[in-house]
Amino acid sequence: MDRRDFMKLAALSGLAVVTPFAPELNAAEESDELYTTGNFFIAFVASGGWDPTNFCDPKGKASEVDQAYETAAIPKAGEIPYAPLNYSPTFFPKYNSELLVINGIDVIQNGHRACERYTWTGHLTSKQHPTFAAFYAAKKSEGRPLPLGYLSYGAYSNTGDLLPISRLRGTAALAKISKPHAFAADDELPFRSDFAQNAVKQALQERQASRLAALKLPKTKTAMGSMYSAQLSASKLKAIEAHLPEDLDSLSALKKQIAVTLAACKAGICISANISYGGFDTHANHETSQNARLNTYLEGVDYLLELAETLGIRERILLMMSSEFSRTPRLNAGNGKDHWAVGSAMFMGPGIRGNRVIGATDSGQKAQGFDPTTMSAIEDKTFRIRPQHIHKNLRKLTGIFDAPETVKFNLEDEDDIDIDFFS
Amino acid sequence: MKSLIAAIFMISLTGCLLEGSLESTPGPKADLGKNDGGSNDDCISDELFFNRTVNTMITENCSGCHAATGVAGTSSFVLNFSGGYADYLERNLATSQSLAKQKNPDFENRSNLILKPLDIAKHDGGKLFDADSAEALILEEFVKRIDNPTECGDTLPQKPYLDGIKPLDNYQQLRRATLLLAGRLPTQEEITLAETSGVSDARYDALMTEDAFYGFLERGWNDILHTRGIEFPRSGIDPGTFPLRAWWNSLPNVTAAEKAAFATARYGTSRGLRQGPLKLISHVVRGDKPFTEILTANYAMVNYFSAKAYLGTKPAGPLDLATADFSAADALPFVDPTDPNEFIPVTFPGGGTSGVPADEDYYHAGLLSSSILWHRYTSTATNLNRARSRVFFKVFLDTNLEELAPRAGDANLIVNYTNPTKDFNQCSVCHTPMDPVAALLQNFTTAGYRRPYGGTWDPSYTPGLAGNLMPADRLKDPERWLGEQTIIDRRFPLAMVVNGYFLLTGRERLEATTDTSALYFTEQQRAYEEQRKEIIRIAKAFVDSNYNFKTILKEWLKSPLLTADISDTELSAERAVELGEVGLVNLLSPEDLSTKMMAIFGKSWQATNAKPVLSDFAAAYDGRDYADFYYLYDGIDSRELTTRLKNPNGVNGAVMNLLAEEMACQNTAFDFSKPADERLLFPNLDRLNTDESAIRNNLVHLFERILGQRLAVDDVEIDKAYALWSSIQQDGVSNMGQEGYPESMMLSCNTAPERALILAAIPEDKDSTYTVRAWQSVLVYLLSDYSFFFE
Repeated sequence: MDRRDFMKLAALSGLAVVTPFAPELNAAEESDELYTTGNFFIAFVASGGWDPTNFCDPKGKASEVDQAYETAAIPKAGEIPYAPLNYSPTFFPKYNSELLVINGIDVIQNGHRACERYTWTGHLTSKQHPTFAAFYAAKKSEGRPLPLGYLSYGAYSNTGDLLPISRLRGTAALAKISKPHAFAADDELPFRSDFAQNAVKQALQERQASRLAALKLPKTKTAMGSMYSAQLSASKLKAIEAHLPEDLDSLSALKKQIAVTLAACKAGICISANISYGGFDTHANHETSQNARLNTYLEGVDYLLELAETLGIRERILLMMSSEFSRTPRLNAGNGKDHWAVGSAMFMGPGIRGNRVIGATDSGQKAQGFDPTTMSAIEDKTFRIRPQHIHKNLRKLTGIFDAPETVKFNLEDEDDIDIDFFS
Repeated sequence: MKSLIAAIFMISLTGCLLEGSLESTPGPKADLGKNDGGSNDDCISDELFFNRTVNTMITENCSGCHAATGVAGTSSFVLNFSGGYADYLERNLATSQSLAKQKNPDFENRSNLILKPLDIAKHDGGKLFDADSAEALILEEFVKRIDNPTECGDTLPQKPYLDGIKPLDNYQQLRRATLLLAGRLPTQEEITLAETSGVSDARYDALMTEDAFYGFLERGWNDILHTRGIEFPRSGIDPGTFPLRAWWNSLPNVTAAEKAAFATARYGTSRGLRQGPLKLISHVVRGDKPFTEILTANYAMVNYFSAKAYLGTKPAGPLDLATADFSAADALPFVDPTDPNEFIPVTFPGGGTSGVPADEDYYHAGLLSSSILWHRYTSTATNLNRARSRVFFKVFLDTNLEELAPRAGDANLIVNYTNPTKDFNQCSVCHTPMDPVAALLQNFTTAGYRRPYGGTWDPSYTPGLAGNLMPADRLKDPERWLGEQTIIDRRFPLAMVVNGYFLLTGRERLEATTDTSALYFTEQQRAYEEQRKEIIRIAKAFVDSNYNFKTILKEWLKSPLLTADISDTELSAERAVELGEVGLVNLLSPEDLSTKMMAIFGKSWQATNAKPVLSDFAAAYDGRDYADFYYLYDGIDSRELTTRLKNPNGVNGAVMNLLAEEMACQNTAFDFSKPADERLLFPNLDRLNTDESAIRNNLVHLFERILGQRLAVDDVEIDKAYALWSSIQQDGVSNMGQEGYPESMMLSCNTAPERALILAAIPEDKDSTYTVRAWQSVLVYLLSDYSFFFE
């Protein structure tokens, strides 16, 4: 069975974009199987509901929003105003020229799960839709079976059965699992001869292809295809080791996520990832807790960009920073802020024109109307920026808008409107 | 429009009469529906007609206003357009039936369901379609059906759902059930019986009396409740009521013996507290008690160590173990008090800060009074118990509160309301069911302690459930009232069936598709309907068995939806969607995979230092060696990682590859070193035997033992496996002694004790015929197979 035949089988299995394996790859083909040239997509998730008024959509005390700083004290980095809190005074002046802020995004409701889904897939109700990160990884993998193609550290991460989701907790065992054919004590000493190993490999490929071609039910085929792809891609895991920082063990949990993700990207075994940082659901003690979280979050983004620079992949990273929703304008009785449907997102990376703020909320943190032709916020307009508009633009920006799966994973864009947020 | 075309097609068929739509209103012990026994092939049931045509049409035409969050959200015609309620179609049917039955005397007693959208009777939304439109025809037909219910069987003008799908044979069904439920392979006697007369109910029942079953049960329920993820369980119980919750902390801890005793007490207490809710579930199931008892039990489950934490008393002042009184714990009838895994039911006394009078028993209400459970879902002062209410609805009533309002309108309007959670329909749609239950849990603090409520609960919501208000005289024990109400709610048995499905498959139930424009909408809808019918069928069996949870597992394992195995023909894209959830496809968890390896090999995967590699949750939780592998292979910690993967990724694949290699290496020579009649893998086969017939016979044995595939000795799969074995063996012999072909059996993958046993039996340590490594290779081949890692 040749590779093409197997790809057909894989398509039948339901994993339309994942090729389970390619028999007997030579060295050149092995190299081709890595993701070495395309861009990466990283969703940097603030889980729980962040408060944009404490960084990218500042209001100050003169507004109707409970704020800890004066409106007159709101600084600007280029064209981007920001709150003088947490890590913002370091972050915004450092990155404003590359940074696009979209404010006034209306996610319509305020339940965590539904809004996570809406924010990261662009579809409010569908349980089948993949996150953009999953969709992107599936399309950009172009048949390469990558062990960490879509790496998720949490948050909403549905894949639409386009590819398996990858999790990687702990890296100590990576060296061992990526070299299964040898004794732990001496990894140069194989269990059996090369002939035996190759014979097993060949027999397995034939058996797996035969089983995949059998008239199994869809769920079985998907699971089989996924498993064979997983087994085949496993040997590539070892490539990550060379790019892990020496101080990995001493890093915070968030920075570990970032370091492992970037090492996997650099190694060519990862295309997209969810970096997840939680604790933003500050129903009590909002100011202290929210700012502490934002501080760590923005510092984490800074760390990611610096490390990516060091690894030489900074220019290939498309970064989306967002949260499922935002916080209410007013403090509650416990000095907390509850859920609020109008929030923000920030973008950086290839194709993103920075130093801009699109969309707005009013002084009460309500979504302002938006004119998509002039790209400006207008009070008397009823049109609102919603996640599907952003995702449609993301799909176009990254060249996957016309993918066949778009029919299945439509964005319910009733306005049928193109908004060019990014360029 | 696809849906309307379907509707017109269906209307054109001759309708005949059907009784028996599903009951839809949650509330006191409603009938779960009737079994329809007819079999008219041309008949369309009223339920099907509604699901496929009316509901589709009203979703497209009415959802803008007639949702709870819409401008007509306070009218009598409020529909559900989300999957938050598992029975949302049934609810919509009931609502539509109700309006259809409203005959308007001003308009010749025609139904308001037709008059309103035509704007003949006043409709604030105006005229939606013409009287001769397809939409109007659908409603006319529906009203006719309401006036004259269709009586026909459950048959549809389409092929049976599982047409052309073959089920697993009896042997496969038996093997699957035995491995899943009892963690072992079936005996020959059981196999013979199954092959002659199928897998009987008695066999399923017997499997669920074995000890291993309760491990499966508790693991599965932890994947739902996640109480094992509590890091410091003592923090979940109130020191004001249980002053000795950390009694072990005062034990001496200096000498080695003291340290060991200290560690044992600490571990035993933590385990006792953390496992309590799960042990309550297994206690109820083990005793064949009504499963409703998980919400009403007047006791909690304790081991001896946690009994000391719950029942110990002390004089006022700092803890001094010399004056602490553990007599109540000591008096409990433990068989072996030192065993942290022995749990018994105990009713706590009242008193302390619990709000329960000291002369009364503690207000137990099964899981609902478990501080450990509520500690797992800590709360906040301003959102007191709302998250717990969400968990309650999801687990016990299969209702997803967060999905009740996905199509809300203009969030900016919230500023117009002083109490939006009650008065603004975009908020109240979720808060109306959520907050009364949160109020019922009001006696539990943010940490989970039971203390009389003294906070600032929103007075606009009265404690209650599903519209039933709690009587004022139950303010003392609202959690018990909640339990009593829950078990008579129609959704409770349905929710337990859904939980049972999750235990067996690791999957959530299907949700109804609300996007009528979705590709394959009709096929997705049918998949949902067929699964829903099965859920209802099993729920009825569950109720009829006096709420025995084993009935649910048994009925699922027997269900055609899960025994379906293979198709007669290649499936079309539409059929593939329709059958998308059919079949039992479950990537085994590390715990279940370890159990399976024990069953097949008599031992699980271990490192050369004898530590388990795919350790169970407890070992991984305690940070023992190789915890990494547990997490790399889909383990969860019930804190940050709470979901299992459905399909393996590259990391799992790597662990699978390693497992196959190491298990093959660890077990080949080891099995050959045993007496021939004790071998599990190579029974009665001489290690040096190269006779084709003997090899083939043993391959047949391995295919069955490892993969559950029963093949003839001349089956093509045996041909292939023999060719593999033979080529490797011959190559080994030809090259013996050369580089890469040492004569040794290569025992470095075995533990030291195993190596000693092997060398005692085969002192020469020679594999000069290369048969050991040929068999190793075949084992890798089999252990890399889908059928090994999935059930």
